[in-house]
This record gives sequence, structure tokens and C-alpha cells, in this order.
Amino acid sequence: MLSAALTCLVLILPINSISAYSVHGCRYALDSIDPISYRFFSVGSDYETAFKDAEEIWDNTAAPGYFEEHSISFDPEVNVVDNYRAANWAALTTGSCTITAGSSFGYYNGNEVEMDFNTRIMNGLSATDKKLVAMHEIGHAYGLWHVSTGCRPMRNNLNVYNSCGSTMPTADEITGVGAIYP
Amino acid sequence: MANHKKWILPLGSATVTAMLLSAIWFGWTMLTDGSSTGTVVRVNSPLVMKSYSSVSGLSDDADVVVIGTVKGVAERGIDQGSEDGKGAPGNGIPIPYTVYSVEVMEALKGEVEEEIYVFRTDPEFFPDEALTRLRDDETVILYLSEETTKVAPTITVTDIFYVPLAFDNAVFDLLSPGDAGPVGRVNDDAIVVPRGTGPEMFSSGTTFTISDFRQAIETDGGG
Repeated sequence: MLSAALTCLVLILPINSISAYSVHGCRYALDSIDPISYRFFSVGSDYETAFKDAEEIWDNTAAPGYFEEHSISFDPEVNVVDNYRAANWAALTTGSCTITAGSSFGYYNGNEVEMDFNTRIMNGLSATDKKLVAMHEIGHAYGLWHVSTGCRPMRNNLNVYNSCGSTMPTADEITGVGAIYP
Repeated sequence: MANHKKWILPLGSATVTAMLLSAIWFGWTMLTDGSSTGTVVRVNSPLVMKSYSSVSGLSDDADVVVIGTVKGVAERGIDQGSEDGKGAPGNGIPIPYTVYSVEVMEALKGEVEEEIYVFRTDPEFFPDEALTRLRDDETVILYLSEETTKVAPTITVTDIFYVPLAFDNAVFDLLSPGDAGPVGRVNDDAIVVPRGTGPEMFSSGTTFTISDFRQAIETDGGG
């Protein structure tokens, strides 16, 4: 947490476009993706369900690694919270890493990310849309960034608001995760 | 588990909050990458947020639509949300915000005081978003949702505040406000440009007049 806090002092967002998918350059330590642990922190049951359903979808793909819940006195890779926010966004995932010269990736500081669901906005979404938002955020937690085309989970914010019906990670996104965790 | 966590996360969050405040104090732009050890990347995922490409869409969703002049910053703080809007501070990702005082020239939809307070997430936290600061003395049209401080317990300057529906996508700049005073009626022919432009929003170069906004609200029955 402290290392994550320290990197709040910087403001950079280099995006590496590799293929049709994009990555943001941070990842977990390679030996910690089997599993990628997560914990819920006072999260409502519908958000737990949405996350678990989305996690199961990712786990059932060919993407490397899998997610697993830890519940007691465990420092996980993904901290999941929900809060009632003034701003009008639905969800956010944050983390940070240091990329050394000559490298394309850095490891998440603290080997962890924070995932925050805004209940004021998401309470108005259906269970399916909550799951889509969670699937999108898990993509960020994996290390994927947005793409600007296509109907798929990592397409900007449109998986919920354009009703394109994107319900599964595409082959390209799975390839993207594979590139992050070779 | 929940009790244990409720100690850990707030303490960690307090640390992050302190660091964020330090960052604001020293200025974000001083604190970018370039160290000898490598480039520090902070990942703030772009937001899942509803966007608007029509004035009528904004009118439908807004509690209040106002034409107003920005009078200045009323308060700054760190938003960590609240526990289901019940007033208890939340444990969310700490995000800097500014509350602006806005003098209302005219309320196109809803009823408001002559001075309202507008909550804005600070743009430095989300560099990929269409999100700017409000500037003193500029005149804007704002599509707002009404909130109470139970949503943001750290706000002390007011009990009721307003939030633009979708960052800059709900903010319009009035280029020629005319001479209407506070709570007057602004000239129908005044030119308005959207501040938030881009995919799924308004096209760059789009212009409106005040009468376009009045018509959209009257059509929606929200006047």
C-alpha cells in the first residue's frame, strides 16, 4: 500500500499498443498469477456476485493465470471495494509500477491493484451489466488497456452503455493477457 | 474478515490521502517520471461512464440545468466515497476534487439557489478523460445531478451540492452571455459550445444557441 501511495506522486500513462489489444505496462509477478488472489472489503453481495461471475468467465478462457478469493488476513493482489461516490463514473481500477529502461513491463508496486465500484451508478445497472463492468475491470487488473474498436469487454466504456452485447473476452484480449504473462 | 479489513484499508487509505495532498501541494507536474531507476507508471483505468451526444439526452438525466458564472473555488478535498451514501466515510480509492461556487444566471431546469456549489473531480487524476477545471468568471451551462454531503462526507462548505453528469460532456461554454444579471433570462441567441467533444460525445466544432437548450428541455417536459 505504501509503495502504491508513493507512486501517487507521479502522473504518467504510457500506453503500449501491441496488437488490436492494448496494455498499460504493469503486471503481477509472474509466479503470482496462479492464482491472482483477491479480497472483498465490505462489498455488497451483488457486487461480489458480479465480480465472481466475471472472474469465472476470465478463468474459463485460455488466458494465463486464474483468480481466487482469499478472505482472512491475507494481502491479496486485487483489493475490491464498493463505495457511494459523488462523481458519475461506474468503476475504477488503479495500480502502479516502475518500468526500467529497455523493458516493456514493470511489476505492480506491492504486487497489487485497487478496484472500486461506484454503487450510486452501478446500483442502477442490471446484474448482467454489473458483471460486464467487473469483467472490464478485471481486464485492467490483468494489465489490459482500452481499445477503440469492436464490441468487446475492453472497448472504452461501451460494453455497458452501447448495448453491443459483449459478454466474453475475445481471442484478441486473451492473446493480450498471454503477451503480458508469457 | 470485514472487521480486520476495516482497520487495514482506512489506515492505508489515510496514507494514500496524505500522499495525494502532498502531491497537490507540490504540484503534479513536478512529479513525473524520469528517475534513473526507470519510468514509474501509474495506472488509473479510464472510467466506465455514460456519455452523451445530444442535449436532449442530457436534459433527460439532469436534475438541474443552470446557466451560471463561476465565482471561484469554495473547497478542495479528497473523495473516498461513503458507505452506501449513509454519511460514513468510505474506503475507496482517494481522488482529489474541487468544489466551485457558481452564481446562477438562470435555471433552465429545476429550482436552485442563486449560488450553488459544483463538485468536480480534479483532472490530474484522470488524464485520459475529457475533464477540465472550471475557471473563475467563465459562464457555463451545466447539466447536474443534485447530491447531499452524505455522498461526500468530506465536503463542509454546503449540505447540498451538484455534480456534472459526465465530466466535461455535461459542461457547455457560453460565448456571449449578454447582460442578463443573476437569475435573469439569458439571451436566446447566445452562442454555446460543448466543452466535452470526442467519440460518443458532441463533435468538435458543434455550436448551439440558448434556445436549443430551452427547446430540448421543453420537449422533454422538464422545464
